[in-house]
Amino acid sequence: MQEPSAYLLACCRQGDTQSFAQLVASVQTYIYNLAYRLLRDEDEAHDLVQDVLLRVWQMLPTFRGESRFTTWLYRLVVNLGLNRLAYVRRRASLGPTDERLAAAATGLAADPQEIHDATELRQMVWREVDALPDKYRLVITLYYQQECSYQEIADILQLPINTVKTHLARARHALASRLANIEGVDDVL
Amino acid sequence: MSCERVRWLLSLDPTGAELAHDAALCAHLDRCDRCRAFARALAAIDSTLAARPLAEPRPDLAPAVLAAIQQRPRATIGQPFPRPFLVLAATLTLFALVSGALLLHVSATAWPPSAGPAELWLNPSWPASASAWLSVEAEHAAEAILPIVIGLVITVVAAAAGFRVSDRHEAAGQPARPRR
Repeated sequence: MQEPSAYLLACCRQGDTQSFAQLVASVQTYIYNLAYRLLRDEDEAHDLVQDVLLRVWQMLPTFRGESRFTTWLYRLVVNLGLNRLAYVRRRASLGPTDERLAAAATGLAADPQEIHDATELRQMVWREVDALPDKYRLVITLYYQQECSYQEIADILQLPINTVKTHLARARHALASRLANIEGVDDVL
Repeated sequence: MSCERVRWLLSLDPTGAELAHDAALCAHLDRCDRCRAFARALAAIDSTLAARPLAEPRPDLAPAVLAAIQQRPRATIGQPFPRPFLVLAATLTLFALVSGALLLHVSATAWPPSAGPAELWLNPSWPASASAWLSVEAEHAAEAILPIVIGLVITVVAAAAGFRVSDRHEAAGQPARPRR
């Protein structure tokens, strides 16, 4: 996600709703995907994004710019998302996921067989990602999907950078171990 | 180099750049099928996750947010405490400082209270006189200092409360520490 311009943020801080609409348009896809990956439920992810954007509107005047806006925003998503996740888990067990993301991915390959293989592999990988503990899933999503650096992830999750590296390595290790052990996966790899 | 060590090193380096020149690791990969399968799985994971397909949120999300913000009050900058309270605190502080200064001025008495310096030293009872003068001055000083201290305490409490409210506003953007 690109850092919004200082001018746009200043206009939003002043209460300009048109600028805020621009800001929403530029960030909503990214934070929705992070929210969806965290909560693994479309409706919950929408509610979370709406909640986050409302908070952004309310809290922007007090945003002191000590961190990047995107880091602040991601931190908001992660913190509110973890709170919501705890609530969701208490309320009910999570259902199967990933049809929408898999559907979004199918356009990447041209050949129908490739599409099938790519989709199958993607579904397989994301299913395994979904099975990871929250902290690993978050790091994987921030690193790969949101293209955050180690330092940015450390800032967002408020963890030491070496912990982030270890989390990512453990997550990749776990994913590769599971994937390498899945029967028939060699046909797809 | 053990298989577990090789797999951990491979997991640590998502770009693969640091390991490309590791001769021991490459030699291990050349002769170990299972580690090669692991490396292949890692490469597939990296490319799959890096393709990062982004699902679009529902089209009604942005309009719903923009409609909702019209009804939400916004946080204010620098004035988390009510303005009348700040004015009252400033007035009290000013009053305390002025009245303290006046009391100090009024209560100031010359040394020695009743006799000149030469007489004092010649007076055999001067320690008692000095002691009495000191106790009177201490009372006057206490009268003068008390309003100043009260005014300062009110100001400090108001400032601390203001900062605390301000911090709470800021912290609302970071509601809870993520679980590790």
